[in-house]
Parts: sequence; structure tokens; C-alpha cells
Amino acid sequence: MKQELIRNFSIIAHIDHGKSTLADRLLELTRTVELRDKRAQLLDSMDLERERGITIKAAAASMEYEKDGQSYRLNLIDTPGHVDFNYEVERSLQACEGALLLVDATQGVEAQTVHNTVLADNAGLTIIPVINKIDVGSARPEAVSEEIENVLTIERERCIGVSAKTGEGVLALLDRIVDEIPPPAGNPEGTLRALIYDAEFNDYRGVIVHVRIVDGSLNAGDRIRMKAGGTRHEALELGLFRPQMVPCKTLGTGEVGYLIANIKTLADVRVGDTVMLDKDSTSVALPGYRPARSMVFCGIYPTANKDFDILRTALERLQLNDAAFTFAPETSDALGFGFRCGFLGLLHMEIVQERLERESHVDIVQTAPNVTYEVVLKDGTIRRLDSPSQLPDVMQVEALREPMVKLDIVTPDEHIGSIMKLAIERRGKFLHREYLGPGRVIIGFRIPLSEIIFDFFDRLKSATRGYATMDYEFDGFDVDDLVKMRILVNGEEVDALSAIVHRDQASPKGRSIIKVLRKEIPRHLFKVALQAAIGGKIVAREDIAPLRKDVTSKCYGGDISRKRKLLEKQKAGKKRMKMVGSVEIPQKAFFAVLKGPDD
Amino acid sequence: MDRIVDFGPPGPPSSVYVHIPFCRDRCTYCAFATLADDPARHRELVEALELEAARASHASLGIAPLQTLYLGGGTPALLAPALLARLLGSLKDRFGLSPGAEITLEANPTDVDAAALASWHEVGITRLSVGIQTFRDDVLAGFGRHHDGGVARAALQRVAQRWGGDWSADLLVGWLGQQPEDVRDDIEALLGFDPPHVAVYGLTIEPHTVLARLRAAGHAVAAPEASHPDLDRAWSEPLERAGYQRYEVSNHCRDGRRSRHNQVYWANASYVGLGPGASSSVHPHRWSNHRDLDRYLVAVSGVGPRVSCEIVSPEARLLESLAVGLRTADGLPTVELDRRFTPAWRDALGGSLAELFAAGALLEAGGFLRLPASGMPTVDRLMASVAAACGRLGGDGRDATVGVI
Ligand SMILES: Nc1nc2c(ncn2[C@@H]2O[C@H](COP(=O)(O)OP(=O)(O)OP(=O)(O)O)[C@@H](O)[C@H]2O)c(=O)[nH]1
Ligand SMILES: C[S@@+](CC[C@H](N)C(=O)[O-])C[C@H]1O[C@@H](n2cnc3c(N)ncnc32)[C@H](O)[C@@H]1O
Ligand code: SF4
Ligand SMILES: [Mg+2]
Repeated sequence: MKQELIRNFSIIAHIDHGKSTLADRLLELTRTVELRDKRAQLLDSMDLERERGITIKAAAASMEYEKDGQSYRLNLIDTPGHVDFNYEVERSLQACEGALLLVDATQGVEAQTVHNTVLADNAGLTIIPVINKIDVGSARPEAVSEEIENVLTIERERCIGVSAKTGEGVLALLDRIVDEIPPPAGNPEGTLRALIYDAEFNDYRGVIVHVRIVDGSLNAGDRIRMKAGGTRHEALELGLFRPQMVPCKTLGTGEVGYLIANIKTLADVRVGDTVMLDKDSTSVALPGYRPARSMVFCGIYPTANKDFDILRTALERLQLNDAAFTFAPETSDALGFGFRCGFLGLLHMEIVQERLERESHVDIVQTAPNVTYEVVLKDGTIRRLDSPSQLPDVMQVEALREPMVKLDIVTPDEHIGSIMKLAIERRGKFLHREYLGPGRVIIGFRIPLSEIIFDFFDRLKSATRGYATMDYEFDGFDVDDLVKMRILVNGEEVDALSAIVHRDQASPKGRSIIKVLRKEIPRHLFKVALQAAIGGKIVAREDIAPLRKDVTSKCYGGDISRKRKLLEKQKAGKKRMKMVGSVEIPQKAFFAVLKGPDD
Repeated sequence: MDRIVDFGPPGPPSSVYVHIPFCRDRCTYCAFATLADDPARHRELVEALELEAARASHASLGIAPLQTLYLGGGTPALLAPALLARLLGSLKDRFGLSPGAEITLEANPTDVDAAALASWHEVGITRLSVGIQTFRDDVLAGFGRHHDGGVARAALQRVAQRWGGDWSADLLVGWLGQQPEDVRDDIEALLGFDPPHVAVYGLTIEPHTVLARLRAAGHAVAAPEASHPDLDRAWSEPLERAGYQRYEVSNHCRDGRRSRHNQVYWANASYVGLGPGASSSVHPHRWSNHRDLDRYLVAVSGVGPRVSCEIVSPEARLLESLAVGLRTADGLPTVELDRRFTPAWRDALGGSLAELFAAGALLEAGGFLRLPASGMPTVDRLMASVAAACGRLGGDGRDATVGVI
């Protein structure tokens, strides 16, 4: 395919503004998919995406579109909308020259719209503003185009109205993609340089490498080399996503597709690395990606120690397909051998946990999450802490620093008061406030990450009857009066439950953790004492009274096998328990701690 | 779990349970294999039981002369004396009877009149088990029982005065609205008849019962769990004061007059069950019969009445043995565990024993493994911990062919 006939673009938007649905219409109107293959959000291919109705992984598809007698190759990448998957968006944008910025005509510009526009701008892409859902009665395309102009500084005349549901306006949009988005630059005569923008593992075929050809071309049969990884392979199969994999002989400059080279060692492929021809030892690596910075950590442990290796393999496979996810081995007194895993946010963490269980069938225990901290030692060195249990002895510690974020909230203006109150309770500092249009404002705060990752969004939603949206980005580390809170169960410290908290909040936090544990830990044959301690001082305590009775029924002959079946069931239930001393703590207790009390 | 072996119980089976499924009405809590009484079918059932007994004695089960025989139900007391005599005679001919064997009959208060008592004695019954449940008229009516408090008292009066042998009475605790005073009233009334043996059962909501359906529809059908400790104290304390030994979670007796048949179950020894829904355990197998009377009858004269049969793995047997043995006050003799499972049984239980000993939840003293007296009501929780600590349990995954035995 000639370079000037290629258009590469991402679809970006706030969550649920209709990206995947628009992708459906594009695939359909270009006859990439037959009408009979049609199902909603075709590119959301993971079960998890379909169940939750959200996009988690960016997905690519190549289409052919004819305009003025000329056939063009359009490569689209559908991206996720949720803040936690920003990194997917960022990577996708680097494989493109243009972006369709979708804004829901009934909602208007939201926090994530602003953020994604900045990302696309920074990547130097041509943005086409698309106002979606114009079929809905409450659509207000005029007001929305005004917001787009005011906030995003994109002229309102450039907006195009579509309905991703009915297909209205989508053909006109296709024409504008061809006319406005520049063809890929790159040197077709140069030596091959292909950017690895994603990868996945297939049991039969090994690693499937998703590439964008930046310079030169790649042919089936070529001997290739990974620039940073240094490993050599033969390109056995190349192809396009239509959206299922369709083989082809060559991928030319500017094209997006896949590469299969019988790669079974996961470490051979790194997202962001450059694929080159083995013989071109002099070519220069592409800039690649800035590494994703995990901000939320938790421990993931196999319930059975023997599953450690299976879990490691599962984590490696997942990481290949999710470059924002990190892990390193760790040991816990309470939980044995496992991994400290890093995520971009809580939804990301939840998704990884679910993918792990589904894709690898390992039973895991997950500890309460925490943000990453920096500790400044008396000797001046600074260390990163991914887990409260790594905190060195107090005598060595000069100060503790916590990660801060710039938080943007978009809301109808009647909720400003309650949002201010919420943010200030959470140690936020007000930065700015601007009107997007009549009655809608964007408010900025600087706030500790630890204060917003757990339940902040839920609180925000309930304080604004669901109207506010938020987005945030990392903004350095600040010193504050932070202390380590230990949780003791019958006198034994459960390292996996300890937390770093602000001193002013230690008592209430301690009480709420203990309260949750009391609910989640079943009664035992003996009394179980739960304590929260700061240093040597107990700040909260509760006891779980011993179980007084659990049998009553008649036990006759026929009952014995029934008893055994019951034991089998209970035994299965206990797979999700961890022993601390002689106390059994269910896995869900570790998770419930982060959610706080229900009331 | 480390591999262990199961050498089986000390001797061949010498206990037989016979299930008579007929009842006047179905009680709302009852999940046993029962059906509406039909005297015309009694003979048919007895003939089938005789046939099943014949097959059992021909099979290689090695049944020894019976030490205990238990006629349960359902309501075996509905059988006419002549038919009962015939059944007992046939079983005796088939299996033999040890001198001093215990022969128990379950009876509902309605069936206990002077003539019946005399005839039961006549045919060789040595022990009666009378299902009282409660003396409260309204509760009995709600359960769909066929007697009221007055009938229950009269029946007990007759048994106490005229029945020379052993006997027991069952009470049910934990019904909807029951208060500790209600429990004390029932116990006091029962102790007035000086029973040698008392069983107190906590009401369990069994699947497929009227109560289970009501509960599923959102009704409260039993006393709330929080009230159980108080209800339990209301019977366990008076029984203890009156000199009864709680020799099993639910069973009490005075003067050592225990139920010998039930002790076979709690020792996880072999026994053979005859009749619809009856289950059997003969090392290394466990099986049960068709519950439905018609199917049972057809099968007895054909392929045999067993619907399921499994080989119980040594590990599963060990856990079963603990689960039932720890229900008893004596506990399990460790020499017997050593003999049956080899001393490796301790390793097979993983670290769980050491932890439970340390927590005082389990005792080993005088050659017995047992619970502290306070631990009896929580034996199931304890067993859950023990089971969790060891590896495999459950059948071997091998289903024995039904016809093999
Ligand atoms: N009426 C109407 N509904 C639409 C339109 N476009 C999308 N929707 C609906 O909006 C919801 C969200 O659509 P998606 O396509 O999943 O949104 P998304 O932006 O891909 O969402 P994420 O990937 O989770 O960020 C779905 O229920 C769609 O059916 C439209 O043009 N009109
Ligand atoms: C199945 S009955 C058979 C004897 C006789 N038909 C009777 O009703 O008394 C034996 C005893 O089991 C007990 N029982 C039956 N169902 C029960 C349940 N759901 N919960 C607790 N005990 C139960 C009752 O105490 C009853 O006396
Ligand atoms: S409790 Fe007794 S009488 Fe009532 S249905 Fe069950 S077996 Fe029959
Ligand atoms: Mg989507």
C-alpha cells in the first residue's frame, strides 16, 4: 500500500462517549465486517470488556475506504476511556497521525476529554472533534461545540456531528479522515524500523507482536532482531487486523499490523522496542515509550505456595499484554511468597486480578492496596517504598513523602460547594476554577494520590448526583506527617494489612480497618483480638467473640457421608483463607479493608 | 496429605438398620425417606426387606451375629405385631443374634398404648425411642405432628410404668419463637418420667421440607441463631444437674445406658442398612438405597436396591472418623486410630493437630483424642480446620460398580 494512501488514527474520548460504537460503524460502512458478523462494540473482544461494557485494551483494525475513485487504507485504534488506562491511549497515539476526539452531545466536555486532548496535542496529532449521539433527544451539539472551543481551543466550525448508533454523519467523517489526517511520514526507502506498540501471548503461536512500521518495510521470511532485547527471529507471518488477524506478505512504511516469529520467551518482546532487520546493525532505535509509572501497589500471593511458579508465568504473560502493569517478588510473614504488583489505579488493579484468575486459574490472595511513597533517610538518600512493610526503622527516617496529583473535576456549578468540602477533607488544595460554558465548570486541586484512589470517585459521584467527572495526573512527592499503622491479630502483626496514614487520621482509619476486619474474619473457637497500633500505641481495638455453637443436628448413619461432603465444601472455601498464627483470615478481608466500612 | 492406609474397623459388621418409611403425615421439618401410610403395602415391604437381607447375607459382607438392630423410620411402630414378629424372625434367621443384642424401635407417642408395649416386648424389642419433640400443643400442631402434649405425656407415662426395657425420648429445640423458658419447661416435663436416655436435637432446616419452602418464601421458620447459646444452656444445664451424662453432642443418658447402635456410627464402624433410603458402610465401601419405595421394591427383586456406591479413601475415612468420633465425650482411642490408619494418621493431618492442641481446642489424654467439654458444640468448625489442613479428601474418585458387593 502506497504511503500517501494510509491514514492512521485513534479514537479517544471520555469513558462511554461512544468510541467503540463509532468503531463498529466505521468497520461496517467500509464493509470490513459483514453485517452478519455484527455485534455491538466488536473491538471489545475480551469477555471482561463485554461483561463490563467498557474498553480495557486498545484494539486496532484496518479498513479500506474509497474516496474520489481512490482506495485508502484506514488503520483505527479504539482506545479505553477510563483514567486508569491512559497509558494505553498514550501508546496508541504514538502509532498514529490523527485522532478522532469524541464528545457525547448529551454530556459535553468531561475531565477525560480535556486530558486526552492534551495527550493528542503533545503527540502532535491532527485532531478531528466529533460530537456523538446527536440522535438522542437531549443532545445539545451547539452548546457542546462551544465548550470544545472554549476549553479545548478547537474552532467550533471544525466539529462534526455524528450518531455512532444510527450511522448518521459517519460517511462524512470518513471523508474528513482522508482529507485532514496526514499520511504517515517515514522513509520507505530506509532500513526497517518498526515500533512494538502492543503484544499478546498465544499458546500455539507464541508472542503476537503488534507493530507500526515507521521506516522501510517488513516482509514475511525476513530475519529480524529486537533492538533493545537483542534476540533474533524469523518473521514467519505478517498480517493486518481486520479486525481478526489476516496474513499478508509485506507491511510497508506507515502500516499497522502484527508479526509472528515463533517467540516463546516472553522477555524477548518489550513494548516500545524497535524491530529491525538482523543485517542492519547500525540503525538507530525509535524513541519508544516513557515507562508507565505504577502509583498503586498491592501484594498478590498464591493461596497455595506450590503455585508460585504458575503465578509468575501468568504475571509475565499479563505484563506482555499490559505494559503498565509491573511486578517484583516479595515475601510476607503472613502470606508467604508472592509478588508486589504495581498498577495505574484501582480499576486497573481489579482488572488485572480478574484477568489473572480467568486466564491462569491460580487462586490468589490480594492484599490491601497502597500508593507508592518516598522515604528520605537521615543520610540524605531517598528510597521508593512500594509497600508499607519496606519502611526502614524510624531512627533512620528523616521524612516520608507521598505522591501528589493534579486533579481536574468537571461539574455543574451548583455542586461546587460540596466538591470543595470533599476535596478539603481529603487534604486537597484548591488551584483554579473556570467556566466551560453556562453552568458548567472545571475545578483544579492539588491533592495526595492516596486520598483519591480508593473511594473518592464514589463520594464525588454521590455528592454531585452522578454529574461530576474527574481526571488526574501525577505531580511530584510532598512531605507530610505520615506514620505507619500496624494491624495486629491476636498480637501478631499482619504485615500485609499495615498502612501508611496521615497522623491526624490514624485513629479513625485504625478504627475503620478494625471494624471491617471484625466483620470479615469468621468467629473462631477462641477469642480473636484485633488491634491497630502506631508505634507502641494502640489506637483501635476490637474482639471477635469465640464461636459458641455450630452443631445440633442428629448424626445417624446416613449422615456420615453428608458430613464428609460438607467438609469438602468447607475445605474449598478455606482455600481463600490465610493463617496468621492460628487465626484464619479470608482473602476478602484483605480486600474489604481498602473499601472501608459500608455505612 | 501423606498417604495412609485404612485397615478398616476392628470387626465385621454386626449392626443392621431397617428403614420403615410409612408415616401418618409428613412433619414440616422432616426430610427422611417417608410416605403416607398404606397398611396394604406393609407386607410387600417386609417381603422386600427379607429379600434384601437374604442378598446381603449371601454377599461377601461377612455380617456377624447382630449386636444391634435398629428399626427406624418413618414410623416402624405402624407395623402390626405379627408382621413385626415375622420381620424380626427373618432377620434373626439370616444374620443371627448375639446374646443380649440391643433391638430398638422408633415410636411416635400416638402408637404407644398398653397393647403395643406388650407386643413389642413379646417380639423381642429391647429399647424404645419415642419422638416427643415438645409438649407444646401449638408447636406440635404447627409441625403437623399427630399428637399433642397430652398424648405425649400419656405415652411417656405408659412407657415409664409398663416398659421394662431401655428407652429414650427425642426433643426438638430451636423452633420459631422458642424461649429458654420453653426449653426448660419441655426438659422438666420430660425428666418427670425419669427417662434413661434423652436426645435433644437442634431443629435443622433440611432441603425439600415444608419449612425450607417457607423460608425460601421469606418467612422466619426457626429461632434466630443468636438465641441458640441460651436455648442450649436451657437444656444442657438441667440435664447435667439431673445426673445425665452428655455422651454425644445431642445424646444423654443416666447410669451408662447409652444407645449401642448409634455408637457404631460414631465409631465409624461397619453397619448394613436395609430398606428404602437406608445407607450402609462396610469397609471400604459406602452405599445407599433408592429412597422411593416403588423403585426400591422393583430393584430389590432385580438388580439390587443400591443407587450409589463408593470406595472411601483412607484419608476420607480418617476425617469421617474424627468428625463423628469427636462428637462423643470419650473421643477416639488413639490405639484404635494407630491400628486402623497406622500411626501415620498424625502426619496425614498436617500441622492442624499441633495448632489445635496449642490452642486448647483439642485434647489428648489417657489414650483418647477428644474435645474439651466446652468444645462439643463447635466440633464442626474444628473439623473444618482439620480438613483444610490436610490434602485430599473425599471418595477416591473411584465409583465401585453397584453390583460388586
Ligand atoms: N443513542 C446513542 N447511544 C450511543 C451512541 N454511541 C454510543 N452509544 C451508547 O453509549 C454507550 C457507550 O458506548 P461505547 O461505544 O461502549 O463507549 P466507549 O467510549 O467505547 O466506552 P469506554 O470504552 O468504556 O470508554 C453504549 O451503551 C452505546 O450503545 C450514539 O450515537 N447514540
Ligand atoms: C426421623 S424421626 C423418626 C422417628 C419418628 N417418626 C418420630 O417422628 O419421632 C427421628 C428423630 O429425628 C429428629 N429429626 C427429624 N428431622 C429433624 C430435623 N429437621 N431437625 C432436627 N431433628 C430432626 C426428630 O427429633 C425425630 O424424633
Ligand atoms: S418426623 Fe417422624 S413422623 Fe414426622 S414425617 Fe419424619 S419420620 Fe414421619
Ligand atoms: Mg470502548
